[in-house]
Amino acid sequence: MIRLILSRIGQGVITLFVLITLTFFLVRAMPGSPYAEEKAIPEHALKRMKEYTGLDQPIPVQYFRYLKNLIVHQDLGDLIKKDGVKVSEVISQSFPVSLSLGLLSISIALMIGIPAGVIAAVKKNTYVDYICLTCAMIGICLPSFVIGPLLAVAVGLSLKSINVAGWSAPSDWILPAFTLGLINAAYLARLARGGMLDVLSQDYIRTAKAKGAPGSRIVIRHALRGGLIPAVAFIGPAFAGMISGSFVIETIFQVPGMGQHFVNAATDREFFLIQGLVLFYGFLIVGANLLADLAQIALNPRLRKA
Amino acid sequence: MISPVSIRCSFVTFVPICLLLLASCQRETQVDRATREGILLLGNSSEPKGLDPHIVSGVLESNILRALFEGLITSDPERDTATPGGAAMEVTPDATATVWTAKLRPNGRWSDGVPVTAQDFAFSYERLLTPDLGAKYAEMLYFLKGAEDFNKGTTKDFSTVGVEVVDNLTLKLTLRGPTPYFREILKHYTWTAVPRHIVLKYGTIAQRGNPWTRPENIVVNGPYKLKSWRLTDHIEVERNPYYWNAANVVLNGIRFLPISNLYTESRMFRDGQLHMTYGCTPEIVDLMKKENPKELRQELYVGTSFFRCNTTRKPLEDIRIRKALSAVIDRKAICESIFRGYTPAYAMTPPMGDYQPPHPPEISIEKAQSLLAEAGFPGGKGFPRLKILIASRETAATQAQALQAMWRDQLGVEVEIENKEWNAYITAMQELDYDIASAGWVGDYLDPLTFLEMWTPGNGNNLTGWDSPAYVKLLKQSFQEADPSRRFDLLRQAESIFVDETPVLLVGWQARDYLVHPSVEGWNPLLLANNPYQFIRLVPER
Amino acid sequence: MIDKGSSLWADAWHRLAHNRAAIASLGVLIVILLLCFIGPLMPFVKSPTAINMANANTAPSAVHWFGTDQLGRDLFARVLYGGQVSLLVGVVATGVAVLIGVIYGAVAGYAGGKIDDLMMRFVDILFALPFLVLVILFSLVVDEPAADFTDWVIHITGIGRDHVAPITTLIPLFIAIGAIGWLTIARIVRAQVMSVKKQEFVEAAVSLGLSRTRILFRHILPNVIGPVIIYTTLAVPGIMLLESVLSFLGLGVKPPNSSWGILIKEGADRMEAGGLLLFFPSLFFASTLFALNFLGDGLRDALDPKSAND
Repeated sequence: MIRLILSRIGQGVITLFVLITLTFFLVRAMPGSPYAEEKAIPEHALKRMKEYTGLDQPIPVQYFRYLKNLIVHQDLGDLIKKDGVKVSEVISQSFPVSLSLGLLSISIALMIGIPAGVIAAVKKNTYVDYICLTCAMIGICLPSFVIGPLLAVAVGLSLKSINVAGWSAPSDWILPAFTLGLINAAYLARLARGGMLDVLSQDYIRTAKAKGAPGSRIVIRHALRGGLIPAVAFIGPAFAGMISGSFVIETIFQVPGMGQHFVNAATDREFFLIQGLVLFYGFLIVGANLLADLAQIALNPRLRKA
Repeated sequence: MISPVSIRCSFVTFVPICLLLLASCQRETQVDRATREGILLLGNSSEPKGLDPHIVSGVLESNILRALFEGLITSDPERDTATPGGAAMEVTPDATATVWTAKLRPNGRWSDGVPVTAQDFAFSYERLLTPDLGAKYAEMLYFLKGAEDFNKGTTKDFSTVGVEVVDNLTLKLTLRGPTPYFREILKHYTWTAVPRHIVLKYGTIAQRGNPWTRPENIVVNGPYKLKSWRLTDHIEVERNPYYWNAANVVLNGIRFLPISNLYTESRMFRDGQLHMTYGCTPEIVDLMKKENPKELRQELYVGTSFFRCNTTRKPLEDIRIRKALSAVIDRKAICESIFRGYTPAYAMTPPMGDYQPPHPPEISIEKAQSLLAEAGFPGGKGFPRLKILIASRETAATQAQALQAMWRDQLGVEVEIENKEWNAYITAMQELDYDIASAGWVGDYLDPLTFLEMWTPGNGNNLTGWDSPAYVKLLKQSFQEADPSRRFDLLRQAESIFVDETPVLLVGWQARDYLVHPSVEGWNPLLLANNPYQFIRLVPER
Repeated sequence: MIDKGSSLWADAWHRLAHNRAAIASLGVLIVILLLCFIGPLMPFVKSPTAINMANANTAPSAVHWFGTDQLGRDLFARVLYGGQVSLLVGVVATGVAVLIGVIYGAVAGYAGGKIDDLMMRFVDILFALPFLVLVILFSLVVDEPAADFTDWVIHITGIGRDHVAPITTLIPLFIAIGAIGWLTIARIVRAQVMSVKKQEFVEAAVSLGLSRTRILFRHILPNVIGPVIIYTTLAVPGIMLLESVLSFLGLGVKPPNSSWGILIKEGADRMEAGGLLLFFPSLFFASTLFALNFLGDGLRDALDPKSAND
C-alpha cells in the first residue's frame, strides 16, 4: 500500500519534471524577447539587465540554474519586467481569487446544471426537455466574451447595487461567477441529461418501474448514481479550465485572478512566470489525480494489490 | 407530496435571490462613496512595472510616481509650459543657461520625517547613471555634463559628472551645454530624488532588486505616500503628512485601478465605479457625445502617430518614392474617422509652447504621381509588393487598410499588410526587418528635442536607417545655443530637413479621449497629461 | 421469407435518418457551408474589406443585407468570409488533432504491454499542462516559420497575399491546436482498440496468420471509427470557440483577416452602441455550433450499440 502511494508520488514528480523541462525550452523558442518595448532600451542597459536575470547565459546553464533554484531554494524566480516581484508572490496573490471564483462558479453550475439535466432526461422529448436543451446549447455555443458583457450591461448597469466589474465588494462576485457558472451549467446539463438517459434505458430501471416504484424514487435511488457519472467526471477538467483559462472573465470583470497571468506571461515573454505557472498548475493536477487515486484505492480494496 | 424536483427548483432560485438581496443593501455607488471620502478613483491601464523612478519608463507608471515623488520642478495645474518650484523653491540658471543652481525648501521632508537634502538628489543622479543599475531611461540625464560617458562606462568617477552639492539645501548642476529649457526637463520623474537613507538601508546604491520600493519599505517626498499595492488589483496612495504643502492638499487619497480592457473601463465608468478613465474607445466616444458630452474629454496630447519607412531597403531608399507615398495619404479622413480628435500632422513635433513646427507646402496628387514615374514606376507599374507591418491593434489594422486603399487608388501601388503579435512586431522593427511599419511616439517633456533627437543615426529609437549629417549638425548646434528663439530656429531647420526627406510617413498628432466624472474639479487639459494631484478636488454632486 | 440482414452502418444510418434534430442540423450545416464557401463567388456578394467611412454603421438595407460595420464594410460579406476561416480552423485543426490522436492511440492500444504503458504515461503527463497557454505558446513559436512559409508560397506561386495569407497564417493555429488537442482522442481510441482487440474476430484473424498491420487497419480501426466520428463532430465546436477566444486575445486570426471570432468580438465591444454587429455573426456561429452538437448527439445515438434497444 505504501509502495503504491510512493510510486504514485514518484510518477507525479517525474510528471512535474517533464513539464518543467518542456516549458523551459518551449518558452525560449518563442520569437521576440522579454525586453521588447516601445521605447528601445539602450544596449548597455540591456546588457546589464540580462546579466541581472541570468538571461545572458547559454541555455543549458540557465536550465541548471533554474532547477537548482527550484529544488534547493524553492525559488520560482523573479519577474523580468517588474523588478523585485517574485513569481511566488504573483501566484500566492492571484490563486486564492481564482480559487474562490472557481468554487463559486462550480457551485452555481452544479445547482443549475444537474437538476436541469436530470429533469430534461426524465421528461425526455417534452417541451421541458427542449427548453432545457436549448438553454444549455446557448451556454455552450456563445463565447464567454459575449455572455459576460451581456450580463454586465443587462444586470450590472441597470442594477445600481451590482458593479459591472471589480473584486472589492462581495456583490462583485455575482456577475463573473454567474457567467462562468452558466456556461459550465450548460455543459453539465447536457452531460447529466445524456448520462441519465443512458441509465434510464437500462433493464433494471424497467424492472423497478414494472414493480411499481414511484418515478421520483427510481430517479433518485437507482438512476442518479450511475447517470451522473459523466457529469461528475466533467467537474475536474472544468475546474482546472477555470483556473487557467479564465482570462476572458477576468478581463471583462476586472478580477485579479490567475487566468490573466497565464496569458499575459506568454505575451510579455515572462519566462520565469510562465514556468512557475505551468509548474503550479501541473502540481495541482498531479495532486488532484493523486488524491483521486488514493480515494479510489480507499473505496475499492481490490485496487490495493495493484 | 412535494416532489424533490420542485424542492430542487426552489433551491436553485432561492440562492441567487439571496445573493441579490444581500447585494442590494449597497445603495451608494462606489464613486459617490469615494467622493465623500475624498478618494480619487482612476483607471490606469495596466499593472505598473514598479515604483522605482529610476527603473520604470512608462506613462502609466508616471501617473503613480507623480503622486509619490516630487522633483525640483513640478507641473502646473493650468499651464503647460509653466515651471513652478516643487522640492526646490527656485532653480536659477547662470548667464549661459549651462550652470543651474537649485535651492531646496528647508521644510522638505521624506514621509518618515527625514529632511530632503541636496545629497538625496546627488545620490539619485549618481544612482540613475551608474551602469550597474541598467536604468532604461538614464539618457534623460544626459543633459548633465559627463553623464553619458559615466553611464556608458567610459569614465568611472562620478565627480566628472556635473552634479555638485554646495550645501544641504543647495544643488549645483552643470550641463553639457546651454539648455534654456532645463526647468521643463526637471519636471520628468527621472529627475526626482529617491531617499538616500532608505535605498542604502536595503541595499547598495546601484543594486538591482533592491527592495526599497516594497510597500512596507518605501519612503517618498510627494503629496501622497503608498498605502497598499495588490498585484493586478489596485494601488492606493494616501496623504503624506510630511509633504511641505500638505496643508493645501485637498484629496485624501488616490486609487489606481489597472484596467487593461478599455470596454470594461468605460462600462465601469458608466456604472459609477470610476472618477476618471485612462482612455476611451471610439464607439464609446460617439455614445458619450450623444448621451453625456460633459463627461467626455478630447484633448491634445503630446504624441505623434506615423509609419516608419525602412530607408535601407529598395525602393524606399529613394526619397521621391517616400514623398509620393506620403503625399497621397488623406490625413484628415484618417484622423477623423479612424481616430477621434487627432490632428493631421505636417511635422513630427506637435505644436508646443512657443515652438511652431515647419509647415512644408503640400504635394499635389499629380506631383506625387510624377515623382513615382520619375523614380521608375509610372502608374505604379513594376512597383514591388511592400509589406506594412502592424501589431495586433484595431486602429493599426484600419490605418493600414486605409493606406492600402489610398495607394492603390491614387498611385496604382499595391501593398500588403502583415500583422504580427506585438512582441514579434517590436523585434522586427528593431532588427530593421520590415518595409513600412506603423508606429507612434509620445514626448517625455515639452521641448521639440524629445521628438527630434531620436532621428540621429545610432539612436535606439530611430529604426529607419535614416542618416542625415546636415540634420545631426543642426541638432548639435542647437545644443550650444543659449538663446531660446534662435535655438528653436535651428531645431525648425533640422525638422524641415526631416520632413522634406520623409523617413517616416506622418499621420496625426494625438489626442486623448477619456471620461471624467462631474465631481472631479481642477483637472485641466495639459499636453503631457501630467496633472499634479494636489490641486484636484472632489465635489459631491447636488 | 428471409429478412435481408442489415449491417451496423445501415442500422446506424437508419437511426440517424429518423432523428429529426440531427437531420435538421445536417441541413443547416450544409446551408452554412454553401453560403460561406460558394456564396463569396456570387457576384452580388460585396467585398468584405472595402472601407467606406461615410457609410459606417448603417442598418440592414437592400444594398447591405446585414448593414455595415464601423468602417462601412458590408457585414454580410464579412460574415461569409469570416465563416470560411472559422470553419476551416475548426475542421482542419480538429482534423490534425484527431489524426495524431488516432494514430497514437491505435498504436498504443494495439501494442499493449510496456509500450502502451509508456505511451499513455506520456499522455498523462501532457494532460497536466494548461491547454490555452500551451496553444498560445505553440502558435507564437510557429508564427515566424508560418510567415516565412507565406512569403515563400507567394513567391513561388505568384498568388496575391490577400488570398494566400488568410490560409497560411492559420497554419500556426492548426499546428498549435493539433499538437495539444490530440490527447483526449488518443485515450478514447486506445480504450476502444483495447476492447476491440479482445473480441473473437480479432483472435480469429491472428490465428489465421494475418499480419499485424493488416489486422490493425482492416479489422480494428473500422470498429473504432464510430467513436472517432462522434468525438470529432463534438470537438469542432470547442475548437471554434477556442479560435474565438484567441481572436479576443489578439492572437490567432488577426485583422485585416477576419473570422467569426473577430466579428463577434468587435460586435461585443460595440454592444452598447447597437447590437446588430454582434447579432449576425453570433447567429451564424451559434447556429453552426448548435447544428454540430445536435448532429454529434444524433451520431452518438445512431452508432452507440447500447441504444439499439429502442
